[in-house]
Amino acid sequence: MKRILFSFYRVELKRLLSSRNVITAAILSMLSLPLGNLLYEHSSRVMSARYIMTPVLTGTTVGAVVWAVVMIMESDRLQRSGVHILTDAVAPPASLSAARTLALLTISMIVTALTALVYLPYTAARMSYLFSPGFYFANFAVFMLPTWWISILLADALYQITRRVEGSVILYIAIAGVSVSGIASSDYFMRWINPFVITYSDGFPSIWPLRIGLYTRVIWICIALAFWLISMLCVRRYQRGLVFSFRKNVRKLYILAPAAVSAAAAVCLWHFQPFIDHGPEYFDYKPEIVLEIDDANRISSILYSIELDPASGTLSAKAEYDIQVPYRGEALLYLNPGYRITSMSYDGEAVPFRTVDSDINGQRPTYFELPEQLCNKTLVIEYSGFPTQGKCWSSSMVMDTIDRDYITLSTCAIVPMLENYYTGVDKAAIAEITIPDNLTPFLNHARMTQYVDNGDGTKTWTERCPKYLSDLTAGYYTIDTFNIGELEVDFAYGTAYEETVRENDIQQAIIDILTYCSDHYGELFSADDGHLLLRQESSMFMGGYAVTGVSTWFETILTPDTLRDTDKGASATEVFIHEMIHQWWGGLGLSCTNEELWSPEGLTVYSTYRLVKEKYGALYAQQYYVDAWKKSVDGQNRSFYNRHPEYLALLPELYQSQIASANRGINRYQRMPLMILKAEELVGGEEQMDEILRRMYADQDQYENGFGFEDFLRYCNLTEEDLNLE
Amino acid sequence: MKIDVDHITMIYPSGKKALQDISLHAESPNFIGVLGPNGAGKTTLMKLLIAGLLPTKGEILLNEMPLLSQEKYLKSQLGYLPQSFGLYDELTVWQFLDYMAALKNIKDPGAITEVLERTNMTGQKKTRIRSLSGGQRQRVGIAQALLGNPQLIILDEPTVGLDPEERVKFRNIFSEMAQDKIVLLSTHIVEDVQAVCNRVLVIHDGLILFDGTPSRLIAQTEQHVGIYHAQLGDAVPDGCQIVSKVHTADGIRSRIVAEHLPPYAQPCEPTLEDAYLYCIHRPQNRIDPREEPAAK
Amino acid sequence: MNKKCFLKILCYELRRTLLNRLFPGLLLVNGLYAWFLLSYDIVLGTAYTAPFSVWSYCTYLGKTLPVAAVTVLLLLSNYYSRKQKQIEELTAATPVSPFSQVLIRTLAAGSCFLLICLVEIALSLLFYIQFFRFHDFAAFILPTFLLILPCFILINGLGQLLGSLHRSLIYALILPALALHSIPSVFDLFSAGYFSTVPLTLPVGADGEPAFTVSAAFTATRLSYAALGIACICLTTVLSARKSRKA
Repeated sequence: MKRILFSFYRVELKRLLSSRNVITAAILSMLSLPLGNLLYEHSSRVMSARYIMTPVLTGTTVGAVVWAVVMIMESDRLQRSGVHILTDAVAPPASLSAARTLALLTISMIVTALTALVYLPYTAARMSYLFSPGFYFANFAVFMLPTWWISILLADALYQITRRVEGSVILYIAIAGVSVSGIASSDYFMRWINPFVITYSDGFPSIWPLRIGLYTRVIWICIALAFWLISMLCVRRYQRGLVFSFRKNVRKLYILAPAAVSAAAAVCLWHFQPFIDHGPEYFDYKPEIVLEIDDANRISSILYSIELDPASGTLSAKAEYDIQVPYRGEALLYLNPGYRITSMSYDGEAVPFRTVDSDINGQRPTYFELPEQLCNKTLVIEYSGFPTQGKCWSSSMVMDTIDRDYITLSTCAIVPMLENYYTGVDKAAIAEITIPDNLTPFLNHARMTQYVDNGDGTKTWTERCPKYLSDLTAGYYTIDTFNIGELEVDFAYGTAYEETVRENDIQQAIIDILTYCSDHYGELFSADDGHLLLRQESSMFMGGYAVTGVSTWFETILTPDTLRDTDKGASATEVFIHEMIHQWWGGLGLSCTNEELWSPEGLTVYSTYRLVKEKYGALYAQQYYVDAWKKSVDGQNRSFYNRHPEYLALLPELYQSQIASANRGINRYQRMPLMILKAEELVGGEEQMDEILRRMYADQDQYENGFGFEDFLRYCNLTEEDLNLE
Repeated sequence: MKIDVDHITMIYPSGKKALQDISLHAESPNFIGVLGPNGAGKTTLMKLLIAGLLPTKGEILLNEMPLLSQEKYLKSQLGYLPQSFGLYDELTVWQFLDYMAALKNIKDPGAITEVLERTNMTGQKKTRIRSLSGGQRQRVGIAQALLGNPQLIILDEPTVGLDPEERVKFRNIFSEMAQDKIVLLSTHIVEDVQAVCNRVLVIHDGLILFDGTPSRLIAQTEQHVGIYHAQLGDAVPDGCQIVSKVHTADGIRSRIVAEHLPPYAQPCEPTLEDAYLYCIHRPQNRIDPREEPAAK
Repeated sequence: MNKKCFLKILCYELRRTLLNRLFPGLLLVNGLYAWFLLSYDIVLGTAYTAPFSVWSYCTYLGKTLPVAAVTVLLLLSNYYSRKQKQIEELTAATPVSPFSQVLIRTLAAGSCFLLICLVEIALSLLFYIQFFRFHDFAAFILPTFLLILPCFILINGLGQLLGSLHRSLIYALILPALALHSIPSVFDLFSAGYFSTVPLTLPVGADGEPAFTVSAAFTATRLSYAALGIACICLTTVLSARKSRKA
């Protein structure tokens, strides 16, 4: 059997290699790669997204369709031309058909390799020092080839089952339609023909997209293989129909068994996938678990020992809590759903715990209870695993990944979030984190400074920190330090961008912005001991953020494409300025009123506009800021569901959540700045407004519970009605 | 090689009865000519023999084993030329034969050269199939059937589209091959059967009406073939089947076959064609399609 | 040809087209796409208008039209297949005029298009009733005709003209038909782009919705498309008459 199959495979390969259809398909799929960049510009503007991701993914999808068409045509040609009358007499039709499919799979592999080689010189030249051959070829191997294979197998299976070109084409369109339609827009697993990749990063290369890409390809290959094997049982025999032939063939255990194994593997791989948690698709603002909270301080100190293994992408860690008084009753902790608690002990005795399989916002709850009477003992929790992404943000960013060149972990993907145990001690924890020695780590957004070189290619970094760790990032960073007056600034950016930073004099731009703010609003005193860290993040994150003493931006702000073209880079420039200005307005607006209208964002956006106006001119500021705000607010006012909230309840929850989230965003980022702009007019102009802002900034210490909207109105001597935009 | 067809009935899913309880035994060497009108069941019989169809009733044995259990062996020993077939137009003659040879697991390229020579296609071996004439395509079909010296050769109308000279040449080739094989030749051309077959099957309406040597078929037609002269407008005598009509000065000379020749007809020496016509038009061989066929 | 024969031939053509293996599948694809559009896109409303505003409804129709157009082109391509050409050698010997043949094809393809549109319209009405308890469909009638008819006449005319020149040109027409949708301009044949951008430029009324109007330019463009389609059909008649004379 094997020998026959191989012999058929050889002849079919030879025949197909000279087939005009196959040659056309090869040329078409090779030519399709540049289409992606012609039709679509990726927002992240990083080189590897533009020169590797977009072309490869375009070629993947277009090629998949082309090869499916060729598969169907080649299978049908045998029937249409009548050659099958001759071949069926001398060869088992199923073997011949299998050989044909295998031959086409081989050809698609050759074409993938050729495509990769053909585009290699161009890609390498365009990306220059950012080009990595391994990453380049891995993309073809992970996305293009397996997707083409899946497509060929599915197309052939559909043809063998329907025996009709129209039938198989329509079914193929339906199956591909699910993948390309909005239903699966951000579902890594459903998108078999157009793999979902958010973006790549040049400065902080992560192989997470390749990992999940390969995993989903394996699942779909299993599905396609099972389907294809079953279709082999439908190959028509004795000039009879589908049902008769299937009944005749179904006894072929050597086909049925691998089909069953393949289908089972697909189901298991899909169900037990380690990448995305099983929580809701949208961020749940109302977590169902309501705790009885007491404010007793129960922890005196904590030691976190965390080891990261980039080879397997896993973390293994131990958290030791010195507990003063255990919580009465069942306590709750959250951990990343990908992690498993391997042991939990209190005073050396095992503590029973139960993990509940209800993920929410990228967290999984575990309940445990400590013996109430046993005080001043140590609770030890050991856990390990591969971090999953919360489904609610898996479509927009990769929050948690442990790679060789880049690590980013957030909240409960670093340490457990112990809900009922508070600590009164500031920075009660010590974190010891072991990572590869060539990476520069940042913990809770700040630089880590102390380390021990383990001599085995790793370093263990130690840092005092609070009970919760919000963020751990490590990558290839270059850090420039400079002073602006009293303020010491650390500017950390991807080592890959050294040349770009130097050529564009980014340092001077930073000094200009910080100086503008100091001049207008007063010396920065929210910084951490007179120290400010400005850090570039991976392009996997959108926008940026600011916390006290730290501002970060996504990678795009420093990409050559963005810096070359200020018009197109308006949003990146805004982010760049915005996050630095946040150092002035980050501490404000803690008390939010008016549907989250009043927040630090309003003041920051307004100040960004003012700075941009001064730097790029009134026209530019009007176009990209004021007009854009007005357009958004106008849209929000006109929106049917805002005018008729009674209809909102008819919408699926996902849409309700999207509309609510869009409204929140517009209120903070567009409506509020417009209101401040109106206030500026009412108080007499920019200078007067600057004076008010300067006073607000100087007085902020007086507002322990946050600086409210009413306070702002009071400073402006205005009422809320005055600022009404309608 | 030995083939036994044992009380086979073939009814298509559409309800059409193609073969009705037929039996047949063949052992190599044997060159069997299968004669019968269109729709008689010749092609169905051939497809059953190549395991391209499953019989509704009965069984086919190959070397005393059920054919379906011997499918692989059968296909390795089979040369088949169907009535209508297709070729890969974009391949050359050589490439197509090479492709078929590989499917038949024939590794020796000499086999291709040999069939090309036998079918007189050596000159066209590099020609693409799309530019071949109808007769040349038929020769490629014959060539692929002869590949690898198969032990069972089934030829369904092989000489369609060939010129008379070619036809003679091919039937001689078939005849040579039949020396140690079983060859089944289905045709409408009685002359071909007469020239090469040592055995003839006459099939009509799914029944085998005759199975024996051509001379026996002819012999049983003695006294049933005659010639008479008729005038224009004369009716055909009752129960007679006209074989040929020649206009002469004396009127129309008609050759007829009949169970009982009219007294004015002069008996003459029957040919195989007469015998075939007599066989399928004999009143006792006629079957009313409305009636259930009686077991033969 | 007398009317009875004409109708008989039309019935046969319709039977061939509707009972074609391709058609039920394509109808299903159209229906699924329409439902998907309604429940994922139109449900949010077009250009801030209500999901059941005439604007949203026209955008919906405009978005379904490209797929319906491709369906018609695929059905038309059947009329120019190799098999059909072989049959034409027989029909060319009959006294049917080329005009009648083109007309019969237009009517047969038109019936399929109409059937698809009816399914899509029925789905949308069902959606509106079920989802929003909305029943006031009177305002939808006129724009429906304005959208569907010119689009069909042009696609049919172009398809037949190109098909009579070469079958593969019909397939070539599918690409621009798919690529050229949602152009925010009066020239958008399917008009989804037009109807989803124009409301943004209009003042809103007391109910917060911009009143539904179509500009004279839009109507004129639609009429020109229909005229162009009719011209194509006439040209096809002339071409096939010339061909049959040659044959």
